[in-house]
Amino acid sequence: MINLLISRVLGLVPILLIVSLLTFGMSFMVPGDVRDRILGLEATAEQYEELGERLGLNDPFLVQYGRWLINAVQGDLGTSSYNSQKVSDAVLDTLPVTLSLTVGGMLIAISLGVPAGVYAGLHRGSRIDQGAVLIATIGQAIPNFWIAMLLLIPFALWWQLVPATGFVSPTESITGWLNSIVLASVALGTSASAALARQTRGAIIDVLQQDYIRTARSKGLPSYKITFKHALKNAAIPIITTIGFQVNGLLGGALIVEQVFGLNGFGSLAIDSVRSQNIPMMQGVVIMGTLIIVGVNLLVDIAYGFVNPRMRTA
Amino acid sequence: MSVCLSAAFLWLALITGCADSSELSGAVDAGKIRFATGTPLQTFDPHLSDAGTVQSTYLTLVYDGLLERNPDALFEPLPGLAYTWQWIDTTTVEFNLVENVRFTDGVLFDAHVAKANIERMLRVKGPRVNTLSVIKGGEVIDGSTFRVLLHRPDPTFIVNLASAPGLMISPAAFENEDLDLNPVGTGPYVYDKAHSTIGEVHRFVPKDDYFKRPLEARAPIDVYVLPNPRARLNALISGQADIALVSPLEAKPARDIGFEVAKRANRWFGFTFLDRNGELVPELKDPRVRQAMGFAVDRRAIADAMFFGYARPASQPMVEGLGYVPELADFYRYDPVYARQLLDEAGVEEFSFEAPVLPNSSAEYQAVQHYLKKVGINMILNIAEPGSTGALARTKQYPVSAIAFPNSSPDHRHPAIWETKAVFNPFRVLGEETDRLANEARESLDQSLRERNYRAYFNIVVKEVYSLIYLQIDDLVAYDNKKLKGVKIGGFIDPRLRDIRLVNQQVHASEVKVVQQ
Repeated sequence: MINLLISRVLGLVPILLIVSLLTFGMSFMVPGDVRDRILGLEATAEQYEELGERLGLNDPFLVQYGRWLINAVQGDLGTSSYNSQKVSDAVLDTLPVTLSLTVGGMLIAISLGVPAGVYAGLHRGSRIDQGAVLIATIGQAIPNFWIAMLLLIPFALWWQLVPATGFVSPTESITGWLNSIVLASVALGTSASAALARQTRGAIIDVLQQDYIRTARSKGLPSYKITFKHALKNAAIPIITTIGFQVNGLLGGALIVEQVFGLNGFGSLAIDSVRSQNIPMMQGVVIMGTLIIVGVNLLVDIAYGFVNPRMRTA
Repeated sequence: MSVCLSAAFLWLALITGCADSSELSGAVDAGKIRFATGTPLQTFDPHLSDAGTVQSTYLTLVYDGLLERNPDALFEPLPGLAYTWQWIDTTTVEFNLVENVRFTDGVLFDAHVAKANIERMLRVKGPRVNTLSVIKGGEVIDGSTFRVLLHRPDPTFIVNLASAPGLMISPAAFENEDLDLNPVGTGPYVYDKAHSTIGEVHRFVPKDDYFKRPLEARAPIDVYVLPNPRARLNALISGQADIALVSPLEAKPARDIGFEVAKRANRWFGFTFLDRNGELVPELKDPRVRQAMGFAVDRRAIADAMFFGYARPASQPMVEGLGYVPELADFYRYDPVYARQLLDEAGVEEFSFEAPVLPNSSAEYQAVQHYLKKVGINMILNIAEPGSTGALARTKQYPVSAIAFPNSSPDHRHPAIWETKAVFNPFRVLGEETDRLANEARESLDQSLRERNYRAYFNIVVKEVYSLIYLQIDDLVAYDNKKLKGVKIGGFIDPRLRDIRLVNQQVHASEVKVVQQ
């Protein structure tokens, strides 16, 4: 397991290098110029040049990238193009919002999707199974921002049970925090739960057809033991894989859902930095996003190891 | 499955049932003004801010200038840190300054500070320095008397001085590295950095010893950054905000629900022709073709269908005042037959051109596209990145620029849009007569000459179709008029937060302190 961790951490270095280089390169291809945003439409060519000099935009691409890389390696992700706000501060300010939504969405997805998938798999072909498949298909097809809007109108605008916008940190108030993320988490988790239910159902059906399940049945083991001790454990690998994928999907989905709920999270920061051509901020967001996704994948690998000891040396 | 769903909803109900209703009703915020805006703070350094935009909202809370913008009369500024001013000659203005005013760092404001600010503003060369680059320097007469010397006569100087570059910073803070996020001004509010998060919420608390209108108490203000206009409307409806910037699409439901909507015709919608020499699209060289694009479009239908009463058909850039020409008010009436006739006279059967449009106005330009198509003009819309308008104009890739320009003094608009060397004249189309008229007007203190010249100027701009104006559009804020009073929109979407007061609640200075705690 230690070897696995070391190899994954070492593997992170080239990934971050490639991602940062690609992001930096692509940001140069986006039409527009941060100087237009900062200086407005009435600036002179001289002002343009001076601002470009101050922001280092007049240097060649590789010089700009090299400067950013050297600072980043030393833990300095730079400052915003617009003011002296540190990129790392902006990222750390917004990360709790998105992580709250992602974890909340994942909890909802797991608590709905896995039991539904197991039940449907165990009762393959039944009406409940057919109903679960239908609901899961619909759930996957509905965009999460639409669910977000559907939830927002009654719960936040009509009955005002939860706030329509804004995030409350858990350090301020636990109930306030739950209230501020519950609708967005449900909106995010619905689609993921549908995917999880379908995957779990398929995995359970596969496992139930294995010889060792037949052997267990022939030994007269009770069905709950077969389900929980043998079937579920062996079906866990594809389920864990799906959870990993869904976490990454939820991070992406949070971009839109944050907009609907006026949550200034990581996604909103990403969108704003792209729109405002704030390249240092954009780089910080992408690097942090990459770290999160690699981290999730690492957790998935570790979970494989727990479920299947043979995979610990992979 | 049903058991799981039931459990989930029970869990949801338990959580939502935990809600502290007082937190959500807004009761705890009754003594606050909560404003939902769409634009994050760029910088608190007024000399480096592009404060022609909504940035003024942030800056004018914490800073004062010698003069203050007048929301009711753009060209007649209000007294600020200068209580009177007079022209000594055509290039010298003398200001009498208020005394015993201190910045938040304790530094006393006086003529030396005013001079240092003017010099810094010119030195740092911020985005708006052009508006005050006519300044040659400052001269201290005594502690409370200050003169500004100009390179040449400039009738717009007084108005421009009331904008962001004229705001006064404590000289002790000039070199502060965090000045952009930690303002040091004399304004009616103090920025509460400890309770603010950049990009999310900015808190301002009233300055107890503010020199102006000391008897009228102010309420603390929270400015929430919500880029999505629908989220701002939701915040308003759910009682999380008291006032919000809205677009026409959100203003209508807000009004229907019972919120008050304050408006101001602050921008125009149409085209500016970059390629009037026809280098990219030869057909556009003929003014009759450009005029045809004006007569072909049903402005009223677009205004009614897409702006819900918050836009009006127009043919000229100016709404009123300097440069407004009454006889041009309905110059481009809807007449597709005449539009086709103009195209025939120009020998144009049909033609195509590309136009970059911003995502937030693409629907309106699609409507224009529909009307142009009917007379044989095929406009291909390319969605452009927000903020790329100026850069795209400079690339000379497009024959037109489609941008909802903010209304402003013609003295400002001419060098930005129509002057021969303007950013929005990248093909350098010579406009000898317009340049002459504008330059003469900009350097004259004779108001009648200025009015005469700008009337002639806009006759050319409209009839020769330098720009094609379809609509005048309102900037809008929706607000709870049971809670707030004094809501007015200044220039450039600025709702003048410093002037807003709470209704039905006399907030005295002692209570303000309690709220701050």
